[in-house]
Amino acid sequence: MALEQWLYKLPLRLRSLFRRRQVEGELNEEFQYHLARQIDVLIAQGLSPTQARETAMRAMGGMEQQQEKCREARGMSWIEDLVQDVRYALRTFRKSPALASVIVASLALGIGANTAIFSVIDAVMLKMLPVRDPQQLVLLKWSAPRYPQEFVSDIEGSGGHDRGGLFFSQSFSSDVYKAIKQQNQVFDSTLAFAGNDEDVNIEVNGQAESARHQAVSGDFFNGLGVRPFLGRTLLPSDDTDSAPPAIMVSYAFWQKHFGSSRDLHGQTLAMNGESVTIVGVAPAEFFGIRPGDDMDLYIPLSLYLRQWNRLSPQESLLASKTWWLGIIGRLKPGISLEQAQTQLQVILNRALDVNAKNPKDLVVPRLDLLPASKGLNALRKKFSTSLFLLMGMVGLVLFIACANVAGLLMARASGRRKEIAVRLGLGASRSRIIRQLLAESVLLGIIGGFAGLLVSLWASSALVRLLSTGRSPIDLSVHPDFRVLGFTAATSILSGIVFGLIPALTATRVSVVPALKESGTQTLAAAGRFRLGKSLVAGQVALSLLLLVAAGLLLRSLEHLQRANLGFDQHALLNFEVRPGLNGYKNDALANYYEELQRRVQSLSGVRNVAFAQMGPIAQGESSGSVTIPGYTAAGQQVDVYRQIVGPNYFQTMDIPIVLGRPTTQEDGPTTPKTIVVNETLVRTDFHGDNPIGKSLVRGSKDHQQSFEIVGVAKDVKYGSIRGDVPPTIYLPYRQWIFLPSQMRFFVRTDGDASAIAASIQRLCLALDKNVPVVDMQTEEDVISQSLLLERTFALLSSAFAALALLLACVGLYGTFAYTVSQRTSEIGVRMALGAKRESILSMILRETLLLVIIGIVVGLPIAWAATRFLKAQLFGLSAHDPLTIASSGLAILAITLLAGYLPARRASRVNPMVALRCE
Amino acid sequence: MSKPSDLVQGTLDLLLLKILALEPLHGWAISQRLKQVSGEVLQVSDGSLYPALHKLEQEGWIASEWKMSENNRRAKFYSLTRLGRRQLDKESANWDRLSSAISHVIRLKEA
Repeated sequence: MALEQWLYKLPLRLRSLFRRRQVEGELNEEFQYHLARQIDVLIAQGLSPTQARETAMRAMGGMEQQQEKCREARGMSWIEDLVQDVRYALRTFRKSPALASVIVASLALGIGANTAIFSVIDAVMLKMLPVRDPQQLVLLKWSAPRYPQEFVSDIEGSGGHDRGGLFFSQSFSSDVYKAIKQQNQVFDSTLAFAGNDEDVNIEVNGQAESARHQAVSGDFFNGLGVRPFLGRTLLPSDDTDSAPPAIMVSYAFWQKHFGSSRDLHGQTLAMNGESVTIVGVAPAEFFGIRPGDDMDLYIPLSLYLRQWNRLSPQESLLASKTWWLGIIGRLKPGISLEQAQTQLQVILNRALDVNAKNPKDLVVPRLDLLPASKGLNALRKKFSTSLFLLMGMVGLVLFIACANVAGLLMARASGRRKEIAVRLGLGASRSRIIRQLLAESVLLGIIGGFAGLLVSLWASSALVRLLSTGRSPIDLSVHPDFRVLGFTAATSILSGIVFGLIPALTATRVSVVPALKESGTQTLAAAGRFRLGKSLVAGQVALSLLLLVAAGLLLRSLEHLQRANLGFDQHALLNFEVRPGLNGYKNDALANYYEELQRRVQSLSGVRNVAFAQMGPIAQGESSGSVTIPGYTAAGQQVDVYRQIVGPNYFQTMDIPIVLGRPTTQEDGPTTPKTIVVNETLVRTDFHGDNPIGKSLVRGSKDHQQSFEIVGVAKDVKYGSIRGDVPPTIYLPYRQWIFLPSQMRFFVRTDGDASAIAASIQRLCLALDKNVPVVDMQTEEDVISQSLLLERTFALLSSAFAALALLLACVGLYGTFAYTVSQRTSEIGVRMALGAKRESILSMILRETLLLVIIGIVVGLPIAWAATRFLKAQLFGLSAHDPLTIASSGLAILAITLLAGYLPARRASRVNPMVALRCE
Repeated sequence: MSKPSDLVQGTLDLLLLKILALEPLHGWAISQRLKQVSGEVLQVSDGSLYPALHKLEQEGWIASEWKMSENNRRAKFYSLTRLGRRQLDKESANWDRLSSAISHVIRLKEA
């Protein structure tokens, strides 16, 4: 029935919409026909033609009204009205282009900033993995009240303590993976990947470079449902000990090295010196499993293991206490997360043989399943808080922009009171006029939205560029998709309604007669009516204050971070990495390479000191392990310490003072007793302040113990990040560590400009071995400044948003007062005629501005006080209620807004009383 | 006079459907027929006829067609559709129920 009805209705409606002229013509013809017939009848009854026409017309009962009712009956009149409204609105904009462009610009900035931040959120947080049915994927994670040393000795991949103090990781041992894969009945497929993804040295087309690689199980691509762009995916048959080495490469890698060639046949490359065959190219949209962290190569786990064994034969990944594999499962239809979790926990406990262990003090890892539909969450975790805070800020900016536009429209609507009164007097309904005013504001919103989209295209790519300078580029594709476009459309229309509704409602609340009687310029009554506009301005000031305080706190945190005492001297310090181990250097040859390079660089003029270590102190990784301290740790207890593997001369080069004992030196070799230097924090926390010199630390399990004698205590140095507290740290001589690192980071203390010496170092390294490339040469100051990238970007963006908010608030203030001044010209004229001085007029207007701004600040302060606690985690070295920041923000806003208020006040004081009175 | 307010609400629709059920007619002829059959009791202004017709057309109950009229001019003829036939049956039944109920009440003897 309903369908059949629409078969009749739809063509009619479309016809009245698109063939409007024809429909109108027919309507007229129909009425004319009726009239003609009626007139004929009436003439036949004896009336004169004129009388007959009049009578027939009267019987119609108002032909125009009846035709209008027919149009309404067609049900499409609202669209026709809309077209009319839009035309009318465009005409109004053309009449006041300045106002329209100020409004569109405010909205474009507000909406553009929102869209830009949203599109980054969209790319990081909302995009699904480009695989088949991503919502079925789960990632396995475990947690325990403390490090479960009964089961785990080494973790490769992510791990650490969460906020609740639980130890967690996403890595599992080979045995656990095998058990879960073979025994579970909850997953359609169980996929594994190596938790760590170190760079590899590759040689492709005769060029040596570094590439990012991800090791995956043989069924990984089939399990995810990813089809290759070229060739085939990796298969389980590639993931065996005897399989010839086969890898897949990313689309971007293929494009870069092989261009648009579609011929895979026999393409090979050398990976850490081993020749491997490229069997397939991943599709362009496949970014791996971590959004923003694109891989170049995908290799089978078997190949990864073989390379691992070649490079570090001392530690086997297959050991049951080495946890190194991430596991992703595809849930069978109908299986809930809880069911799967329960079954997998049973399998895990069986694989770990939990029941056979002494239950006393036993800590068993507890499994957890995380939805993996959007990929692993490293990037998301890193950016999500900042992004959401930014989203909140730009939301406020848009709000301010809307308030601003509402104020401007309201000012104009009061200027249009007469027009509106006339229309109401002529019988227009209030709702019809509101609709028309709303059409205007929504149209402004939409134009602003389009402009905002353009702003956001530029801004979001700039934002991604800003975030991805540095060592780890973030390859996010932030193309506006339907979500982003929908967001922009919704924001534009919604803000059009928000800023349009208030002016439309107030403007149409007009009593017709008084409005028409009012003279051209208005009186005090108009200023009273404009109170709403003023409170909008006060509100803008309040919100701007909030943003200003937030930006101030972030800027000052950044400053604190930049000036934080790191414990070593980061100035005039150059660093770079070499990886001779990947080129086959081993044992003494490897150590000789490092020390020879150290000697040669030392001999360069302008070099004061040279040292090397496994990694830099800041932002170049962390490594930690558990040790026992005889005489201090209770039996069976261990403490976590962070380690730094260092070469000779490290402390001197880095300017780290040794406060007790001696530094490690070249004499601490492979055959001499094992020695370490500890930091002050370790002495304080683990030795309770006792003199540790001569005491020892023991590392490793019972049957494989190593004891290190403490020979010195170094002053505290930041470890890994500037933000974190200094952890207990040990410094180990590199020749005494269980294996010789295959790569080292060199630190060069120079006399003058550090970067000037970089080229000579490059030449030296090539002379030593032309196949060992120098990687990642940069000054330590750059390293540190890049480690603050997120903080700096965040501070920069929030400052920009605060400035934008302040600018908008100033425009609002200026507009509002310029309007009230123009409305009060005659009042001011009277005052001046009665003897008021220019200065008193100026101060009268300025007092009003000041009052408004102070109200805004008074309202804004408690809001800022309450809201800044959301920033707490982002701050460093100051409280969220830092009085200096709050006070200076308040003063800044006062000064700037008063400046904006001064211009209209000055104009008011320049009023010529004669002119003002005459325009009455 | 200009509004069919003296007609029971909704009865104009019923009358129009019924008239068109007999034969397709143009607007003027419908107005003549209305006066004729109701013996001038039901007063419908000429003008208010058309919005009603247009509404019925939009509902899909009647369809329109331009044809030559009896005096050889182009006129818009309305005719009942299948949906309109169903609607007429429904509304007539309603009307019967309502009018018989009302007559019943009116015929009650005063005590």
